[in-house]
Amino acid sequence: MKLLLLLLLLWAPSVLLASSACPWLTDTLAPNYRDLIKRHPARASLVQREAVRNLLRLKRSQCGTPQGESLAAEIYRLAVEAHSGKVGLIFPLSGKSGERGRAHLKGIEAALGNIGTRLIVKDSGSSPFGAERALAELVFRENVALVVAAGTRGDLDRVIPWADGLLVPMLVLSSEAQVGASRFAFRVFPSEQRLGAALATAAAQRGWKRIAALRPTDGRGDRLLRSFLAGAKERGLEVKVTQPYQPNESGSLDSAVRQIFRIDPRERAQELGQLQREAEKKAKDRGLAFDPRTVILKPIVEVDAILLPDHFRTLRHLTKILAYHGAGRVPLLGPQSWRTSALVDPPEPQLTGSLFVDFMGSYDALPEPLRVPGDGFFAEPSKAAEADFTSIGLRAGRLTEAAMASGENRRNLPYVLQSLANVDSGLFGPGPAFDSTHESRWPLFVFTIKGEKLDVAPLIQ
Amino acid sequence: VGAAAERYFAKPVSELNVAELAVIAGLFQSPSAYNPRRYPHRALARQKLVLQAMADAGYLTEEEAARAKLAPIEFRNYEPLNTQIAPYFVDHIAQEARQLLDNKKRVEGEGLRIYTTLDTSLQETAEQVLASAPKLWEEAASTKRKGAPVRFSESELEAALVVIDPKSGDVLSMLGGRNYKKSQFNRVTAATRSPGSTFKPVVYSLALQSGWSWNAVQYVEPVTVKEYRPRNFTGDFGTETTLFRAFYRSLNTVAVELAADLGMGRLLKHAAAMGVTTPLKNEVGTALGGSEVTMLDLARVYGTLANEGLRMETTAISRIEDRAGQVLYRAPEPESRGTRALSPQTAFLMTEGLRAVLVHGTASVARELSQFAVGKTGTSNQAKDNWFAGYTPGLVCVVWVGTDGNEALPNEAMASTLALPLWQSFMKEALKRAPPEPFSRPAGISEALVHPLYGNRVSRGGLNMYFVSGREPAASGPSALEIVGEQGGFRRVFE
Repeated sequence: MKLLLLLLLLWAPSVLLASSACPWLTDTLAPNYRDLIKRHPARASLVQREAVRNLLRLKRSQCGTPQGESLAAEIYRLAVEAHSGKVGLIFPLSGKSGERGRAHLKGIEAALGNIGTRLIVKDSGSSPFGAERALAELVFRENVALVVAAGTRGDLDRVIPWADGLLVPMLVLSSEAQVGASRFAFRVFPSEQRLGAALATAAAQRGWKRIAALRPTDGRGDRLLRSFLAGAKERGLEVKVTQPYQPNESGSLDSAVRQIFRIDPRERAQELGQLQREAEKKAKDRGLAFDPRTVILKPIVEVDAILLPDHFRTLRHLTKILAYHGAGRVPLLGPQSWRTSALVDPPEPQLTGSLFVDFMGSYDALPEPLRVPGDGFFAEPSKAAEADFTSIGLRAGRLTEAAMASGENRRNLPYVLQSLANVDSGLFGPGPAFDSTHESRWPLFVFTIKGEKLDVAPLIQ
Repeated sequence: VGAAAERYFAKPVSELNVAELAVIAGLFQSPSAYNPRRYPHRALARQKLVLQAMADAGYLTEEEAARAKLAPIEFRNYEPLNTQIAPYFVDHIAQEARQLLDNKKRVEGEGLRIYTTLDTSLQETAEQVLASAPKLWEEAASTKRKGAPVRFSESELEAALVVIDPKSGDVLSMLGGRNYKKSQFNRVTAATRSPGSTFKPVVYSLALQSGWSWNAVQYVEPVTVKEYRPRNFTGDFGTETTLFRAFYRSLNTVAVELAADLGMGRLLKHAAAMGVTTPLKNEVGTALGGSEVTMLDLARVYGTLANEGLRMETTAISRIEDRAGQVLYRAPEPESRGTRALSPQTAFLMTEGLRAVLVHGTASVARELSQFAVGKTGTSNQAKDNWFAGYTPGLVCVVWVGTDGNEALPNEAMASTLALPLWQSFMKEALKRAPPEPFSRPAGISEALVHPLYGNRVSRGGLNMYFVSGREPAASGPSALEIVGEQGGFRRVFE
């Protein structure tokens, strides 16, 4: 570990290892500090610390003079290098994302509650401005060594760019906010793209070669679908994406199913006419009213499975539509949002053999204080969402703990984070904590539906 | 068929020969156009077509058909007993009296004194209601002109109405058609038609009696039961619903799934227990009213609900005396005519479900009546039959609108636009006669404010539902169904 860190430090940008930090302080860091300070009222309160005031006063012309270099070195030490031992949390504890922010906080406090790390908690109020203001306070006033920021994409896209600009390592608790271009920001959130790729792996492992993929119009599941398509291509699977369906409009999902199974009255008019004549005769023989609209074409099954990148409610509806068309034996593939107790209770014969991929195995793996009521695979309904957000907070806490234990300063912490292994193999799986794009490596589990029970196995890639 | 045999040949159907039967069969397409007395040539031409069709289909040999075509036909010169006061009712009295006395010759010309259950005031109200509905017919006919080719005219649109006293089973008013002089066919007693959704109370009352509760949740989905694929009138799929909401919105798929769960055998027995005497088809479609019944069948079913679960046999005659004053027949006392079909609690739950039809559902245009009256719409396939059946604690009224030729009505026509306005007008007038009384609530009933889709108890924004005590939902937070319904699932980490 120490050797790795040493190597990483050797690779660090030359400016940080240069003999003089003064030009970088005056030309890069100070303008960023000023820029952020200017955006917020009550600026005076943000520049109370001596080191910050000195940095803002430092002029380019002072660089190269003994006095200026000495001052710059001191500023650099106090503003960037000194390990404050503090961790700043920017969480939406109020406002529209308050519920998830509080759940994250519960998880991170459970992980860090008993160690020496001092947590400074700021409520973003579920707003981008609030999040940015909180960051300014944490950096300028509290001199935190690491920031853990949670919120929506809108909130965090305002904050993440400052991580590199202010040299503040940042753990991001959001699925959508962009971390890819940052050296200092790391996502501590399950990756929908990884779930999509995992579904392609699981499909290939089942021997399914021809997959139909459904796509909701509202963009839900798009990332998962894209990564599934990429994974499927790599594995030589044939995937046909249907026309988009509107999640709240029954007829459009039915149309997509008809497209998959070529249930097209125009294309198969002769066959339909024959079926209608037979049905009419049958109805007449039994003295029943005949409605030609209730006669349907039999499905032509040319797929091994259907991908539904949507939540349980749509899955339930799809299942009924498949049964209606007599296409119930085709297995379905989907994401973790399928996971509800209603998936197996009452058991749905149509779903036997279908599978979904999840980053959460058993809820029993959560540490005792965070346990949610349930039976291992299914949390009590109102607690399941909280359990996800709490476990994400917990993971952030464990990674923070490991990073802070290194004693490294702000500029070096990213290298520490990049080299971290998952610290809780039970809940978060073995292997590195982050991949090369700073995405968190959560474990992946394949759940197979078997009547009234689920079979779960870790996905072996 | 029986009524036509009596009317045109003055003998029971069992005594008709093939030639006469063919005349009757020829009437079905249009009883008015082929009326044998008014248009004997048309009727005989039609008869010959029927006989030839029977020969072609192998029911008769060519020789038998040829003989029947030449057979002399004698039509009876029909003389109704009374064409001024409740003529359809009077016809029915004659028929019922014959059955009761088991000797038809003693009914007419014997100086019998028949005491009936007719309420002349209600009869007059009913006649006024039907007579004052030309606007309705015009609207129906005009809507037809907007759409597909016109297959019926305003004058072909028929209507019938029957009123009974649920506590005694007495028939209080009967209008077998719009114009007795034009057509003596009694659509209340002799026509069997698809009741559509007015049959659903039979399904739901069996479900409630069997332990289901109004807050039980069903998923509204396309269903296939033994190749039967019902369609919802509103076309809405993909939502959760309580039974209560499914009932007042008259969702077909839910009724079919209930029937499949309860079993058709049980359902048919239950229908008979509630008063359906017409044999029903043992088919899933029966749950949606696909099996024909008479208006009196429906009146008995709704009477059973109005009478707190006690089914009363319907009767139009209370006493028959001969010319010397000797009582030949006396109707049994109402107390001895009842048979328990439902518990009072189940009947009350159904009454509240039917009230919701007027408050929130398919009959909400008649909401103003919902304090004292309840009921259900029914529209059969292609709007051929349009029904409204409903009741107050003291009156059951069933209204039917359609055509004798069983023509499809336009898409815009439905029970709420044709039958319901007539029922509404009648009930409004009927309720003026006496201070309206509320429905009585039996012991062992509790109520709760419930989410209409997810069935969980809520503190606001829900519907008031009634339960057999002990079956009401527990007081708790949002149900799993509510979470799935509103958020799509338990997990929303990527949303």
